[in-house]
Amino acid sequence: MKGAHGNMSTNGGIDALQRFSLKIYADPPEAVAPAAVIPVFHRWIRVRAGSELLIDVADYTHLVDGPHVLLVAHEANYAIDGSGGRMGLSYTRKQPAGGSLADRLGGAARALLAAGRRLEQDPEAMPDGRFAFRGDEIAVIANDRLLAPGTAEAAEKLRGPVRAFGERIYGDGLSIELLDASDRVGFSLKAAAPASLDTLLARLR
Amino acid sequence: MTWKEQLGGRIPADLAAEIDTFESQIALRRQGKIDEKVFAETRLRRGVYGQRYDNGQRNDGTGPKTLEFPSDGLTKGPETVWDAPGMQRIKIPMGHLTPDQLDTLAALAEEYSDGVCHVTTRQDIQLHFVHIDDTPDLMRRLAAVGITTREACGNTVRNVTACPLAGVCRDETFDVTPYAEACMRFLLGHPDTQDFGHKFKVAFSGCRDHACGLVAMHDLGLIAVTRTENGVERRGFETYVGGGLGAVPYQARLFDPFLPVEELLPVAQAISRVFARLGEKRNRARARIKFLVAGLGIDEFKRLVLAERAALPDDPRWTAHVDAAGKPNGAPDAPAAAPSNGNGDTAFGQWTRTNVYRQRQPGYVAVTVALPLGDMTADQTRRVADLARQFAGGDVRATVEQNLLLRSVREADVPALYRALSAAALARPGAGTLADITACPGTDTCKLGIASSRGLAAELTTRFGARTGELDPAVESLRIKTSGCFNSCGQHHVADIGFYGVSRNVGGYAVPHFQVVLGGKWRDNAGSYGLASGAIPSKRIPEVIERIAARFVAEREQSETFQDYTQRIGKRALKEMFADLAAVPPHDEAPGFYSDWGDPREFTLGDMGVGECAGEVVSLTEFDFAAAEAQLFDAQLRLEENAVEQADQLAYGAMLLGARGLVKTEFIDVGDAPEAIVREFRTRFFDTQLFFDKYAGGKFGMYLFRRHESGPRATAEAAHRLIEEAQLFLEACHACQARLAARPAAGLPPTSAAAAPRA
Repeated sequence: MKGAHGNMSTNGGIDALQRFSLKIYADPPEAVAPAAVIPVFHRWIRVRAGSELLIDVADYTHLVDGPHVLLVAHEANYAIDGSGGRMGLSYTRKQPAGGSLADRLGGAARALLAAGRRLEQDPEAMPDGRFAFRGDEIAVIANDRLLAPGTAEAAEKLRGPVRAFGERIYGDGLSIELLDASDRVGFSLKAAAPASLDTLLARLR
Repeated sequence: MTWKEQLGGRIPADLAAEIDTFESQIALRRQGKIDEKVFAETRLRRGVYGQRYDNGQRNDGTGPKTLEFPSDGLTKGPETVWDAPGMQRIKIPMGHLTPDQLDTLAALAEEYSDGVCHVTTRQDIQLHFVHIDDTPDLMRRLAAVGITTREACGNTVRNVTACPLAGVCRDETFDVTPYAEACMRFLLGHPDTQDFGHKFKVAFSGCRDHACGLVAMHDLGLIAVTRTENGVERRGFETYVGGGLGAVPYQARLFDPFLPVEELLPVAQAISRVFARLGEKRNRARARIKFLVAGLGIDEFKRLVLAERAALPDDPRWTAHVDAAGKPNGAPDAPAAAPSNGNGDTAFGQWTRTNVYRQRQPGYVAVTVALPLGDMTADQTRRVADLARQFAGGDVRATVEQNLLLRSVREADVPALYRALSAAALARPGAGTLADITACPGTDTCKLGIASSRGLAAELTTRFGARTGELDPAVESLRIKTSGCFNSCGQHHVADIGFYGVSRNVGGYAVPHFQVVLGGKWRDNAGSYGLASGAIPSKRIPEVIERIAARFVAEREQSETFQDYTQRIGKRALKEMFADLAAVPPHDEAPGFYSDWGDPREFTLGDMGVGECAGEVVSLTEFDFAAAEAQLFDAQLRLEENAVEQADQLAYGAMLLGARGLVKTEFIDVGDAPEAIVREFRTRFFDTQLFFDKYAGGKFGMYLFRRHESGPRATAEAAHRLIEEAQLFLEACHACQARLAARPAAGLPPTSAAAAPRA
């Protein structure tokens, strides 16, 4: 017998995937001052922003090319994230959610995009100049080396659900590329035309 | 497919069984079938540790707020909410890591934690924000690459540490690695180390003079020494006991100037027995062995240990390691190609000066990868693994200064390694300097943290890191260490300049402060401890360092050390030096003083919780009972799967564990053999009728005897009946224990020497 958590990786099929990470990218990246986001995330905990249980803020501003500031929630981790040399906002799902994989990807994307919008609208987050998040690109990584190890076979199984998710937000202009995700399957989804986070959120409703 | 199935063949059977048991205990705790204190100590013994706010309360800057975890009242220990994220401590004996292990740690950090691996001050790796339900799979993946988390926390023998240069050091007497490893293997899970009142830390050092092993601050510290007898050189250890930091630091006492290597393990075992038998168990503040040694005096302590040693039954493992110790350790013997003179790059030269150590093997060096605050991202962890494969023969050690060491790198490869490290942001210079600051987790994640040791360390790293190479050499070589509280996990007592977090009330507000501890001695294996010199507001600590560094440079006499300098000018002068810095401006003038480094919330002590460093005192009996319950639970699962033979065996095993738990209240050396357990149980509890139920008499005890004598039961029906009987037997064990606990205290369990079965 296992708890809900322990069951996250037991069903075998790619549809059972619960752990994944999504990331959007900041524009211009140099305008992001991770330390400035620390008080913003603390405020989010205080005002209970979003629908998740926000727990704590972790300061990793001393790290290069990694998570710089984390907002730890029960359901997921949000991070001002410079991994891969690209500054952005990531959402890493930890707790299982209901529905199909497409539903779960959609739910995670909604949480990520809503957090991105809140940051875009928060002057305290932008002491070094205004930044926005690019709406025309989103990375999806299956953060589960059991269900989705970095093999061609696993990538092929995941490509369909990820493409369906991508078409939902980007429509016909979607292009999809495989990412190097360290023994995991990851995809970069790109739109043919620029899009705001609000637009993407509207498409996910 | 599960990780258990995926990795089944790659996990040693004993580790696999332990993790399965832990998973069952998680399930039982979910059902309320294991007491929360027993479960807390059970998880701690597997490195599953609590973390700040896991009581479900957090001050958000305006006051304490409840974190509404969906746990529905379920706890994983006293005041510890089930769904609250926790910390997983991962023991890395001697800090020795392989590339495959690093790759696995990176993957685990990404999948179960926050994407960061943290190196601790005791050569462990810690992952934070881990959910307890993920821990069994996390442990399986570690076990598949040869790592156990067993006894990483709790009242156990913690990670055995050793000098990270062991085997390549120019000054060591001999390589302590094989002895440290033998000690770790021997004490891990040993029956004599399961009943401590507190944790027990062991450290090895290859020489007396340098820091490396920090022997003097350990419960058991061993320094490599040799002695020539009849023209033959013999290896041994200058052996110390009873050291420790914490709120009241003790220097270890010399136990034996030359303990032959053949006696290392039996004496460690005897020390464990004496600690388990006589160490304090009720008063946690005095439960470390340092208090026992100080209370008894080293002579009496030694007498007791040697008496225990003399009574120990022989164990072939005591000396099995000795023959292996002389064999090659993997470090290269042949000289490498001519060393490179570098590429003329100033940054490279700076880094080489502080981060590269010339090994005793000609042409080879050890390279320190200096990690800020001991942290590295998952990507960086994988990169270190790759570079270790490429340049270091796969030989990596974590250090107590929270860095990594790549060993046996050819000098000719150093420029290429530097370029590769630079590309991964891993070529930070200044290893072992003022800018290489050690910090415990403090208020970031620790329940006991008072002030932000990591926040302070980050600030100091930024300030002094930018000045690497510009500082006076006498100042550059100083060590700074910060702890979030007096418990000294940041080892502030052995720093030249140490800090530990305290709080002061100013105008009705709590203000984060650090107590300044000066003059500790890192060298000579933590040769002496610094003394507190006054509390200074957290935000003024950088000024403290600037000021004392400037004064040291200006007033230093010839080659005077910092310790000698602080002793010479005296405590009064030191206090006066910082007196003006102690003042705190009013809240409305300088609100920044009222929050901590890196945390905008108004400072409070309200988030402190109950620490788990000491674990819970759980008797051996309770442990056996908990294990019995888990085994019986597994028996039911096997029966459901129609695995009759396994179900029968597990139910029988559960009864044996229950019986053994009771026997241990009188005779801790009963061992694991079913014959001995049944015999001792019969003699001590059945024949004496201590086990008898008021109404059922000895009926439940007969269940055990019958199964023991008749052997396995072949049918599902019989196995089912045995499970029922085992349940009743365990209930009777619990009842018997309760009756025994209600009796007047009869004294401590006897030593092995005096443990003859009662007639």
